[in-house]
Amino acid sequence: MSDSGAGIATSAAAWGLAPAVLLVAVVALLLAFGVAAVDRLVVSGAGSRAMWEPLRSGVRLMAEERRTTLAPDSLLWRLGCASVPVLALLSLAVVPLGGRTLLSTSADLVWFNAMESILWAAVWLVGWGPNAVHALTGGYRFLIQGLSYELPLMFSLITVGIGAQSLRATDVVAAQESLWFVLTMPVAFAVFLATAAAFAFWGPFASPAGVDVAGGVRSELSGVERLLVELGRAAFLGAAAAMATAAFLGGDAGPWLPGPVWQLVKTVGVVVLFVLIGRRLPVVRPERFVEVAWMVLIPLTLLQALVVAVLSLSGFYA
Amino acid sequence: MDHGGSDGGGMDHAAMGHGGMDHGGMGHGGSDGGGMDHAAMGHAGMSHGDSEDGGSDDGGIDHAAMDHSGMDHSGMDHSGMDHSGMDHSGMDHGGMDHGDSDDGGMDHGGSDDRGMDHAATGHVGMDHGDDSDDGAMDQVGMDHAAMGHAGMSHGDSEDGGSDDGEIDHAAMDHSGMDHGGSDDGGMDHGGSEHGGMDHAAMGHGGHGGMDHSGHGGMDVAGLPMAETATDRDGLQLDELKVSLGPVLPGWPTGLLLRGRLQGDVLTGVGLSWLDQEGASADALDAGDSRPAALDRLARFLDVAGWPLAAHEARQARAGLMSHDPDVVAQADRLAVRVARRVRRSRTLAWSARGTGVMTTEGSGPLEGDVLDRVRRWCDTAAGEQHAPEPLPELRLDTVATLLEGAEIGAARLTLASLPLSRQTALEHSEAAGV
Repeated sequence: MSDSGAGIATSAAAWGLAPAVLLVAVVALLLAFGVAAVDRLVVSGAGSRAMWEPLRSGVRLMAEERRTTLAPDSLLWRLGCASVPVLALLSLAVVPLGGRTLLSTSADLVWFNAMESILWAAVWLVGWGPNAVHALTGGYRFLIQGLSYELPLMFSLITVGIGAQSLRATDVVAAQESLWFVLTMPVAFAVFLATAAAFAFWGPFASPAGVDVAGGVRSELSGVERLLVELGRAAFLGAAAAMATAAFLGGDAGPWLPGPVWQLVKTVGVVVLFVLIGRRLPVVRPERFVEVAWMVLIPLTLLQALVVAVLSLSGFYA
Repeated sequence: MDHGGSDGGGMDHAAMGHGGMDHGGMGHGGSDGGGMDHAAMGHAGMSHGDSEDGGSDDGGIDHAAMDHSGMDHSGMDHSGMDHSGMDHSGMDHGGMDHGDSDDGGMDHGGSDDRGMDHAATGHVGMDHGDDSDDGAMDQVGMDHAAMGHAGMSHGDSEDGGSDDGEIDHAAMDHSGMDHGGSDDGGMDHGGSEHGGMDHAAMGHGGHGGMDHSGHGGMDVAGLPMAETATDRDGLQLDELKVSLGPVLPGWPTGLLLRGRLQGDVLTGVGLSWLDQEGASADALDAGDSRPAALDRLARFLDVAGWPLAAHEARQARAGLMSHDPDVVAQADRLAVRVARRVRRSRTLAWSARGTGVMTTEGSGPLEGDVLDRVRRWCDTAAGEQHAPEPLPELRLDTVATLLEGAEIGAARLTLASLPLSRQTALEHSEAAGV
C-alpha cells in the first residue's frame, strides 16, 4: 500500500514547475488571508466588514516607511523576516492540493516538520536582528516554546506515518479512504493543532510576540518586513490547517462534491476551530508550557503512537 | 565662570568617546598641552573647524600645563542631550585633587537652580578623597536621573552664593559661555577610574555621528557590549542594562523600571515615576468602583495576552457609564460574564499562579499572588462585592523587591496586579522624618 501514491505525479511534473509554484503561492496567500480574516472577525466582534481589515493593513504596510533601530544586525534581521513566509511556502509544498503536492519525497511529513525546525532560527533572527530588548526577549521565548512543542509535534506526525505506513503526504490521504485518522488518533490531532499554533506563535502561544514584551519579536518590525512576518505567520497557520486536513481528516475525500471543494471546506473548518478555541484562551507563559509539554504532551503522544502501532500491526488500517 | 587655577589631577579620560563633537568656533590659540595623557580617547569624527591649534604636537601628547585661556566656547549647543539613565555607580574619584583649585572667581549668583531633579543617579562609590574641600556642599540625596540639559542657558550667569539644593537646569543654554581666562595648567588626567560607568541607557539620539572606533571594539554604535554576570542559578549569563517604560501597553503610565536583564530574568530592579508632579493617581485607578475594577481587569488581561476578554471588559465598562438603563443592564450582564470567565479560566490560573506573591502582614486586599488579586477584582467587577475595601497603594521600593529575579512576563503581570503609589521615594522618606 505504500506504493499507492507513487503513481500520482507531483504538480510540478503534471503542470510544469512555474504554474505549480504559482498555485502554491496563491493558495498560501489565500490561506493567510482566510486565517487573518476569521481572526479579525472573532476578535473585533464587528460585522463582516472587519474581515477586510487585514487586506487594508497589508497594503498600508507595503507603502509604510521602514523604521530601524540603533546598530541592527540588518543582514540577519532581513534574512529572518524573509524566511518566515518562505518556510510557510515550503511547508505547503508537501501538502496535497487538488490531489498533488508541489514536491514529493518519501518523507513529506518529516519535511513539514523540518520547516518548523528551521523556523526556530528564522524567528530567533527576527528577534535578534533589531538589537532591542523586547525583540530579543521575544526571540528567547520562541526558543523556549520550540523546546516545548517540537517533540510533541514530531510524535503526532510520526503517529500519522505509522497509520499510513508511509511518510508521503499523498499516501497518507489515500490511506484514509475507509476511515479518517482523526477517529483513531484524536490525541495526535489535538496536539498537532496546538503545536501548529505554537510554531506560528499565535493565540495562547503568542508569548514570543506578547503584549507584555511590547510585541516581542514583532516590536521593531515595520513596513514590508512586518508584512512578511505577519503574512508568514498566517500562512503557517493556514498550511497547518491544510496539513491537518490531509493528515487527519481524509484530505479531499468526501461524497457528492468534487475533491478540492471538500478540501477547502475542511481546511476552513480547521481554521475556524483554531480561531474559536485559540482566542478563548489567555497566553500561556512559555516556562509553564515547557513543563506541560514534557510531562504531559510527550507521554500522551507516545501512548497514542503505541496504540496506533498496535492497531497497525493487527491489520486495522490495511 | 572662571575655572582658573583648578587642578583636575588624577582624572583619567581614557576611553571617553568624544566622537562627533563639533568644537567649531573654539579658539585654542596658544594652548600648551604638555603633560596631559589623552591616550585611547576616541575623537573620531570631531570637527575642529575654526580651531587654532597652532604649535600643538599631538604625538604622545602631553597636555599638562595647558593653558586654556582665551578659549571661547560660545556657539556650543548642548540642547538635545539626554542624560537620563546614566549610571555613575562605581566611579572612583578618589584620586582627584581639588587642593589647588581656586574657585573663588566662580560666581553662581543670580542663577535659580531650584527644582533640579537628579532622581535615581547612583553616585554610589564616589570617593572625593581627603583633598577636596567642599565647603558647604551638601549633596545628600541628589538624584540626577532624567536630567534634561536641553536648552540650558549659562550665558552671563553669576553664581556667587548659589544654593544648589534643587537645581533646575532645564532650559539652560550654554551658548555664549566664555571660559576665557581659565587656567587649567597642571591638569593631570591620568589615573582616575571611570571603569564602572554605564552609559547604556543614555539617549544618544543627537549623537548620530559618534564613532567609538578608538575603543577597541568594546562598543557597538556607542552602546557598550553586554557584560556577563552570575545569574540567579549561579551561571554566567549575558547581562543587559535595560530601562522599561515609561510608555508600554498595559503599563502604569510614567513608570520607569531600571534593571538588568539576563535572558528574560530581571535583577537589580529600581522603579521611579517619570513625572513626579502628578502626585495624585489617576482618578479611575484609585477608585474601588466597578468601572475602576473593570479598567484594572482590562489592563491586566492585555498584559496576560487575552485580548478578547480585555475587549469585553472595556465594553462592559463603557456600558456601565451610560445613562441608558438598557445599555447599563446589558453591560452588567457582560461584566458578570467576563468576570466569571476570567475567574474560572484554568489556563490563566495555570499561567499566573504563584507569581508576585505578597506575604507581608497587613497587605490586606493585596495579599496572595497575582491570581488572588485579579479574582478579587473580578468579584468587584461582577458587582458581587458591594463595599470593597479601598486598595492600599504600594510604595515603589516595596514593589521593586517583588520583581527581583522575576521573569519579565511575570514582572509585568505582578505590576499590572498592584496599585502603585504616585508618591516618590523622597516624599516617603520625608514623611518618615528622615
